[in-house]
Amino acid sequence: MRAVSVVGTGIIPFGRHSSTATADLSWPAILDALSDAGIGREKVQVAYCGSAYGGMMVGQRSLARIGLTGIPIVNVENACSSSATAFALAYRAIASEQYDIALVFGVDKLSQFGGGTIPLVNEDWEVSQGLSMPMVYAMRATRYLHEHDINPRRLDQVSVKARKHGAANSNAHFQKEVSLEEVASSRPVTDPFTLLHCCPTSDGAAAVILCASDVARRLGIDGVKIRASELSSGVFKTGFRDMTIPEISVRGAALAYEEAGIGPDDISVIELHDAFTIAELLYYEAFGLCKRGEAMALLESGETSLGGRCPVNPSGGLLSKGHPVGATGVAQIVEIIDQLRGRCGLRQVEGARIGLTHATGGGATGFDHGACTIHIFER
Amino acid sequence: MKAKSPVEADSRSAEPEGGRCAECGTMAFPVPPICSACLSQAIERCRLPESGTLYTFTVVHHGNSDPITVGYVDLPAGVRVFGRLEVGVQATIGLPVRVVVGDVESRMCLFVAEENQSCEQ
Repeated sequence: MRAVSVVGTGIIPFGRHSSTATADLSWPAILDALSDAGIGREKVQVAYCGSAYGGMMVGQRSLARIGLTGIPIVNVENACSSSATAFALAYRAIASEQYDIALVFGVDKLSQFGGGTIPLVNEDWEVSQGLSMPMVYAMRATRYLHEHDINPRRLDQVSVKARKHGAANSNAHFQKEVSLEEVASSRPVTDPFTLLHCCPTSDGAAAVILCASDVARRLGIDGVKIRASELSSGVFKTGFRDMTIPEISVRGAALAYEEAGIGPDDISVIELHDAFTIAELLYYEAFGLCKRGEAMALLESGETSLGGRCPVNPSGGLLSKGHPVGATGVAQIVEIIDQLRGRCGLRQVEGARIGLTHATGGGATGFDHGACTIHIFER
Repeated sequence: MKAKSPVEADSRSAEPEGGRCAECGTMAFPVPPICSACLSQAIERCRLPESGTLYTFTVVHHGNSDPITVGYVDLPAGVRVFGRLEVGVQATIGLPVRVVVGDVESRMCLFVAEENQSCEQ
C-alpha cells in the first residue's frame, strides 16, 4: 500500500439552502477543492460521492454541472458515515495503485424534509415502532448519566462549547454563542435533551482531492498524509448491548491508533460525531482521551476546548456547524486538513500536527451504530 | 380513573412472541426469518418471558400532545425489546416491567410496571 495525501479542500457554508438543488450545493465545493489542489478537472480519474438523501446518481448529477463526467463515479450511502466511507474507498483505491488522483465529496439537503428528525427506514422493526435518532442518543444519555451519577444539566456545557467554537467558523450553520441558561431553557425534545442538545438538520456539501503522495511530490503539490483509515459496521445483537460504550467506535479507535502507530496523547485536534451532546462524552472515552466515566470532567477541564491540549470539534462540530448527513464525513476531513495546514484563523489549533476524524451513525434494530469511519492525518 | 388509550385497553390480552432457533437456541424479537447466529431457518415461534427490566428510557415531547416514555427492556431470554412505557408510570432504570403487545396489528410493545399490574388484578 502506497502513501496517500489530501491535497485540496472545499466546503460551502452549512445552513438552509432550500431553494438550491442538491446537485448545485456540491459543485462549488468541488471547484474550490480542485482550485486549492491546483489541478484541473481533467486530472481527476475517479469520483466518490457520499450522500444519504441525495437520491439516485447524486454524484453524476453534481458532476454534470462542471463537465467532470466519463470517469467512474461511485455513489455511496452509509448513513452519517456516507462521505467518510466514500473517502475510505478512494483512499484504498489510490493506496492499491488503481488510481493516482481521486475526488471525494459529500452532499445532502435536509431542508427537503421541512424539519423534524431525519427519516429512517420504516421496514426496520424499531423504526416502525417510532424510534428516532434523538431517542437513541437520549436513551444512551439516560443510561450514561445514571451509571456515572451525573446531573443531566451538566450536559448543557457540551452545547455551549460547540457553539463557542462554531462562532469562529464562517461556514457554520450556527455562528452565535449560547449560554447555559439558553441551552437549559430551550424546547424539551427527548429527555435529557432540549433542542440545543441536538444538531440542526442542515444543507451542505464538502469536497477533497486525494493524490498518491509520490505523485503529489512529482507534481509539486503540497499535501497532508493519511496515516490511518478505518471503516467498519456495527455488530448486530438480538439482546443486551451496553449503550454507554459505543462498541464500533471503541473498536475502530484501537485499530486506527494501531495503523497509525500512535496513541491518544499524540493527537492535536479531533473532529468527532457530536450529533447530540452525549455523543461527545461517549467518544472522548472511545478515543481514550480519558477513562470511562471521566468524560464530563475532561470537558469541564477545558482540555478539549480551543486553547486546551486537544481541542475537539474546533469547527463547531455537528451541533454548531450543522449536520447535512452525507456531507458530514468529508466536512470533518476538510476541517482537520485545514487545521493541519494552519488555515483556520480564529479557531486555529496552534501547532496542530496530527488530527483525527470520526463519523458514525445509522439507527437500526440490534445495532449500537450501523457504520463508523475513522481517519488519522499527519502534516 | 384516567381514560385509557386504545393501546392500553387492548394490551392485557396479547403477549409478545419471539423466535427461537431450533438449531442453536438463539432468541430474537420479533420473529426473524433466519437465525443470524447459525443461519438456520428452523425458527420456532415462542412466547417470550414477559417480565424484564427497563435498561434505559427517554421521555419524548411531541408539541402539544402529552409526553410519552419509550425505552429498552431486557428480557431474561437474552432479548432486548424497544417499546413504550404505560402512561402514568414513573420510569427508572432497572424498573421491573411486563412486556405486553399493545396492539396486535402494529405489534407495538407496551411496558407495564409489575407493581402497577398486580395492584389492578
